Amino acid sequence: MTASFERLRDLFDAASDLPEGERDAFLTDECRDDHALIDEVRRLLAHDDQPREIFDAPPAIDVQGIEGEDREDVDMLDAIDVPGYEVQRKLGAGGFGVVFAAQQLQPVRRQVALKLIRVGFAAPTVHQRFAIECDALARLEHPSIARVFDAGTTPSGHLYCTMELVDGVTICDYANAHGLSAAERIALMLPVCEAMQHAHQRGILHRDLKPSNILVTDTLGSPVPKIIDFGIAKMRDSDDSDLNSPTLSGEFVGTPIYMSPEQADPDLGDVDTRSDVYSLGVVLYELLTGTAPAQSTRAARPSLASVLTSLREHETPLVSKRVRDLGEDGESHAHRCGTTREALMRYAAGDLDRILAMALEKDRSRRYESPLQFGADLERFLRNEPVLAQSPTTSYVLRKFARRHRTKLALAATALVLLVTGATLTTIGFVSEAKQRHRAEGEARISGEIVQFFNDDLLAALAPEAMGIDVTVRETLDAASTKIEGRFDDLPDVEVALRTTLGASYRSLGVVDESLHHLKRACDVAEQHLMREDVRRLRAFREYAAALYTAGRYAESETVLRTVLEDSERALGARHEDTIAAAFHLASACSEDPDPSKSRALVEQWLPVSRAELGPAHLQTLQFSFGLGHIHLAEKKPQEALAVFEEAYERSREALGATHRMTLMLTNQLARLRIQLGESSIAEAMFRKAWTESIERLGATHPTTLNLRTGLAEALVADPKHHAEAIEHYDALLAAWSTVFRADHPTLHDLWTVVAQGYLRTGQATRARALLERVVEATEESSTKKALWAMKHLRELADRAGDKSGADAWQVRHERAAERLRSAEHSTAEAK
Amino acid sequence: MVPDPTHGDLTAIVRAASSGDAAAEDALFRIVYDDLRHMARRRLARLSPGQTLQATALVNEAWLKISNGTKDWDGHAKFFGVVSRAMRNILVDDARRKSSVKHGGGVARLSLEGLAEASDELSSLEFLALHEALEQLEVEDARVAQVVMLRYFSGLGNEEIARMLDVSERTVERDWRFARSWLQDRMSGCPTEERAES
Repeated sequence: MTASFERLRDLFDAASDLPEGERDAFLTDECRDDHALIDEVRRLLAHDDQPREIFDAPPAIDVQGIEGEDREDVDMLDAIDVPGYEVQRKLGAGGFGVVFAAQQLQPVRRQVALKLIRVGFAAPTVHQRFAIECDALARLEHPSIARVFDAGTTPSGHLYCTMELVDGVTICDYANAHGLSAAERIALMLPVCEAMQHAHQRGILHRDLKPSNILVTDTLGSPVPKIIDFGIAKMRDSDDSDLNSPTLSGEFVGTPIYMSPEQADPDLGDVDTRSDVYSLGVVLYELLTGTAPAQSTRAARPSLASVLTSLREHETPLVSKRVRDLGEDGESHAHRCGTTREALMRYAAGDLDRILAMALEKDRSRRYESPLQFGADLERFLRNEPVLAQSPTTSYVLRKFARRHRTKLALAATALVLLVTGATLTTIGFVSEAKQRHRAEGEARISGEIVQFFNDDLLAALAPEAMGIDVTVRETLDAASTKIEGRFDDLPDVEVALRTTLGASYRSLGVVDESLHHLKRACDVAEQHLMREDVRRLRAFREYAAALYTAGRYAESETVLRTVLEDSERALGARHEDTIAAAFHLASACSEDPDPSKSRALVEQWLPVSRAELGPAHLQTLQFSFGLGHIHLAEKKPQEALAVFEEAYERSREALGATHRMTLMLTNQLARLRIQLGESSIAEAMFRKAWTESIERLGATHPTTLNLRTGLAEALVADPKHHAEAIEHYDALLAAWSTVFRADHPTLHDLWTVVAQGYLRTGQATRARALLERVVEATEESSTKKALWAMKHLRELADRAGDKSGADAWQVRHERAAERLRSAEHSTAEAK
Repeated sequence: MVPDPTHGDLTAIVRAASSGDAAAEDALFRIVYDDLRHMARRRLARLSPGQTLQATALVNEAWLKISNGTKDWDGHAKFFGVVSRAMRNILVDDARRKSSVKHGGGVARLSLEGLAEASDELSSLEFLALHEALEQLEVEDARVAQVVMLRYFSGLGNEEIARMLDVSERTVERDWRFARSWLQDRMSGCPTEERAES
């Protein structure tokens, strides 16, 4: 306590005890000439007589400011104490936090936008990522990007980030308020594209581009667009469950109507720079038409119905079409652009329509690759130069559709559409220019027919509303089968293409009869109407041969394939993919011959060609490798087989994916080799995993799935503890194979022997006997070796059961059959 | 009020603080500060706009919670010292926020608490002036400032304050009257420096 203060206090106390009239005299007496002190005491005494109301009532807390959203921001407001900043007012709120206008106090005084991340989001990992993110953003320097200044954590542990405070209005509001023309609107987007390019070059995506994140300021009379809220939305990628909670996703994942399809549906892949290009396209679309493109099918995961709808409607309506469709709204928007609806439509029709269509491509591989490309095309448009954007071709539309949707229908669509269009697109490069043009025209016509067939007949027949979401490939194909009869009598080339596709699809589903029916018909039509070297004809025959092979008619298959290979080499050359495919099919057919030398010769000749022409990871090359591995196995060289399968497996998994059929088949082979090497538990794990994946990918009764299940059972047999499970699998396999193959199918008989062996090894005598008898019955005539094997086991079973007469009977039958086989082999050898 | 078991620790902290443990006092301050804010928030949520909540009522509630109703407890003085300081900080923070909102021409509704805006006559600016004056007073005369703290921010009566500070009730009343006038004088902007120079 200072002396002067003490004196002041004493004077005040003494004077306040005196009646008012005596106070002045007392003070003058005490203080003499210290008028300042006298004045001060006088003032205090006056205050004492009339205390301010602030001292009357205790301080209180009011509730004026805590209605509505502010009440929810309770925890956020705890965080407003940001050192070095004076928070001034709230500018807005999003799912992740609140943005305030604030005054930075040091090192410089300036207005900033301060963004606080909502408390719940601030998991420790988020803190770190946020810091890294802000650091990257702080390095962005572009006149059209709001600068990021600073980031950190408040004393109460909240994340914040400060940015340039942009005093502007959204780009759409600006354009409308200033009556910008369409060209001026496009020009306004150019610096935005440039800025995005700048950011992308530094590895930063925006992910939430929309008009409200592009503000326009009027600096020195010319508008400058500035992108705000950069990259912050990236925080949503965190694995923190808070961030992905469904209640927040609407705000947090971005704004659906400005989002690219891949952003709306994570199944379609990661978000990349092209996602931002899409959003830029949406913003320009809105600038030009006054509306965002339709989004009804984009926000949700594609259902079958929406897939079909979007296929039928193709793409986002073109700018010119949208302006027309908007009617009066289009008219009033045109007025805001200082023109009429008709003039705006004319302006957009053509190049501008195409540019926007390309930016808004749902398949990003067809989109502009970068904001730079998009901006450059817009500039070319403004300068009346030719633009990059072109109309998509029909076949492209179909391919894109198939690639885009991964529903079950999509599998069907892929099978059907890709193969058909693929068949019509392979010839270019092998014919003269004139012929090429002619073919291209023919191809366009075929594509057109296919599109129409696909849309009007096939999809209509599917009636998704009636059949629900689970339309399977099989149902799709069946629908196509019934629709195709008689419809293409005057269009043989289309019929050949479609039937070949259908047949191949049926074959890949293991539906052999239907497959042969379509392929036979395709070959007949092709023989009648198409040139000998026509690729469609060649493909029909190739597929027919493959189906014959699947049906177990190996000799017929081989004969057809020899012709196909010859024709193919002549028409397309030895290096052509189709020729290589024909060679592979021929090698497969030959591999059924007990003598592996024929198929070995083919594989040794064509595997290097396939590797060189198509690449080491191409499916065709992998199939050759697969075949080579099998030849090694047939020649009892398991180590060499293992090396071939392992290399192929790695390539397949890398190039085609772990659940691709090829990869699964190779897994099957590798696991089988593991069993041979005595490592059944490893084999079991491999089989089980692959089997589960195959069920999901191909279905429970697909041959590949069944093969894997067989392998699983075989791996289980090795351990008596697992016999019960193994028997279950064998029972199920027996039932399943009968639905895949007809009773007289040789492959089915092979499979029976496999199952019978399983029953024998697990001690299931009754089951084994019944099955072995079926094998004998089915194969005694055609495939005596299998029958002999079965008879031998039947004799042993009878022996073990103490059935002496039964055993003797099988012994006699076995000897007779063996004798027949010997004489047959003898005559074959003599014939040679 | 049902005794809150979690406050067993707090009681120990208050005891430690009142026996001169500075770290314990800091800890107590933070606990009380948070506690008051949460209480305020909870209670304010039940009120309708325009209604106010007396800061001192909150302090009483906090006291009841901590003391478990035992009035004759020796942590009394220290506790109310801490609680007054916490309440003052809360009010100051809020007033700062509000005043900067006003400077920025923005929306006053930003603020949750609206603390210190209880009545129209007490603007947040006035409150901040009071706060600054009180800071000066603390330098000049700690006891007088303490009386203000206990009476104004904790809502205690002269009798209780006298007992806590071990002075007469009359002294408390005289301190209060002087402090009130002195603060008011500083708040109306009379510069002390002028007097010192003259």
